Amino acid sequence: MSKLFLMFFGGRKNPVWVGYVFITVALIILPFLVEASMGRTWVRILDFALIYAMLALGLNIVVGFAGLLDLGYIAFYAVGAYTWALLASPQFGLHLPFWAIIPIGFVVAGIFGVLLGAPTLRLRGDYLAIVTLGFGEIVRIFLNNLDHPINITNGPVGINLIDPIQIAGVSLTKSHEILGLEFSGAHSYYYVLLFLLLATVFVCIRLENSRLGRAWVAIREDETAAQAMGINTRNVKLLAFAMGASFGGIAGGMFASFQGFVSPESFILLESIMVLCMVVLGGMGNIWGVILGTFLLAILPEVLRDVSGPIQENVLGRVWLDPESLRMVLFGLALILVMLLRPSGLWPKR
Amino acid sequence: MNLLRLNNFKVAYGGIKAVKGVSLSVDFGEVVALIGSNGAGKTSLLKAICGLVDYQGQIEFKGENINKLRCDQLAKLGLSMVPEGRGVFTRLTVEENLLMGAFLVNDKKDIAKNKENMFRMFPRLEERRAQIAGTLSGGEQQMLAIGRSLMGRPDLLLLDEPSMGLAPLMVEKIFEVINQISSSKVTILLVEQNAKLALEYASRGYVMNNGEITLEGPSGILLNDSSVRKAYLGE
Repeated sequence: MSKLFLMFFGGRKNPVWVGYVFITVALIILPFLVEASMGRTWVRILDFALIYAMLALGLNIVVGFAGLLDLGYIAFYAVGAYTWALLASPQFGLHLPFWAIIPIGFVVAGIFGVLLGAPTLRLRGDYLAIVTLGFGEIVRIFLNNLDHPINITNGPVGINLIDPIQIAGVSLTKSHEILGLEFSGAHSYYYVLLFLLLATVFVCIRLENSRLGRAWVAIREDETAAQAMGINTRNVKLLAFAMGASFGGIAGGMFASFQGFVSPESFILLESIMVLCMVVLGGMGNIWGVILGTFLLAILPEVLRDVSGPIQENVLGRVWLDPESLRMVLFGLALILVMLLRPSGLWPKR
Repeated sequence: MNLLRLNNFKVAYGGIKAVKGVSLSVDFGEVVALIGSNGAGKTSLLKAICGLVDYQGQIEFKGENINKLRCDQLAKLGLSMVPEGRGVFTRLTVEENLLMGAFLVNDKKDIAKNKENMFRMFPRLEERRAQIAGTLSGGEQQMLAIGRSLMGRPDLLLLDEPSMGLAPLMVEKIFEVINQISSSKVTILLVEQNAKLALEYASRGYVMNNGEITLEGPSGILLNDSSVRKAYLGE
């Protein structure tokens, strides 16, 4: 196996670019392979995994790099999603193009990040976690209740008919045929999301190796010592909240436009915990670990849904336990096992 | 001119007065020891000087009023603290710790040169440059913390109990290092419980008791003072 890996990625006769070409081709044909082998639903699951990966990378800035435990991170995802929903749906009759909404969502979510960060600057650890948890709930409850006295968010009903991304007048959610291949909405979004994820990864790598990245690490390790090194901990922490939130905002916008529908119940506490699990299980602070964790946690519940029924039938003769509840039990068990066996994540920083 | 000057300096935690009107000064190039028993207010005083806790009173550094400046702003002015309990970045390597100390230095060549200086001063750290700081011994961590502070090229180094929890042999070594730093024109304010050693290496000393300075003067005189001998040297 390692020999095969070396042949592709490190062998002397095959330069590094062979590896890159191989990865690029694999990523390009992946949705078609997935569709052919497992059906179109799985392309959608893949798309959601990409959105979650962006979200987890954003949270990784706050939790992994800067060490600030945020239990309300899904609020920024919600802010991004609703920003998109309000600017491109019949709700207010606005239909802004995607290239205008993405930067707006980035900035609005970033502002919310600072709003959360500013009052919590002096808090650490558990106390910070509790306040962020409250913040996440406040945002969700606001979204749930902002249908009166003026109707902004449509309350619990949510916002429907959100515009998809349109490139040169072509909607990405419709099916297109190019070169004899059928590109469904899920396929088209796959490439957009893949591009955004790669951009996010690039920015994260640059951030990690920057002065700011080192300042975050110093704060994570010892805030007082960081200050003694001359790091303005207030600004650096606010920047962590803002940057993390901005990534969450973009992911949220993508979610809204891909689904075509948002409602407050997509942004419950469990979602925050789920994203946090992705970061922690993959390996806090390690970009590749976080992506690995995200894909496992986004895909595992779906796999368990598909297999836990048939396996029971084959092994036990009939379905004893409802696959829907069983899959969450197995999922929880998997989390516990990973944390017991690899306490610093599947792919830790070192 | 004094490098650091405190006048009627007070620190209180709620109603509890930890430092009750202290005046002291440190001149360029000096090593000044601040000694006193547990709970005398030494660490509170040091933390307040660094802007880590709130205080009242006047404080001047290099002749300028530095009231209400934050710790990171003071670091930019050249006032660096080695915190009590060392506070190294435990999950970073020795080398990364040192580089973090040079956060405010932009000149890469200067950083590299200074790092080599640190490795010359602390050969032990060079041997362990790629090791995670949390796995170092207490004495090595203390050396790393001092080296990290020096990477920022401070004018005044505040050392909070550098000998705390170290083996006697290591304590001697740390004080030799302090001597070495002092000869490279860095001024040092040293807070210590090990009064004898601190006064042997310092030029002047202040004795702190119950939040107040009760005695001050050249080290030689303090070392021979009967009340100091009785209270801190166990005679």
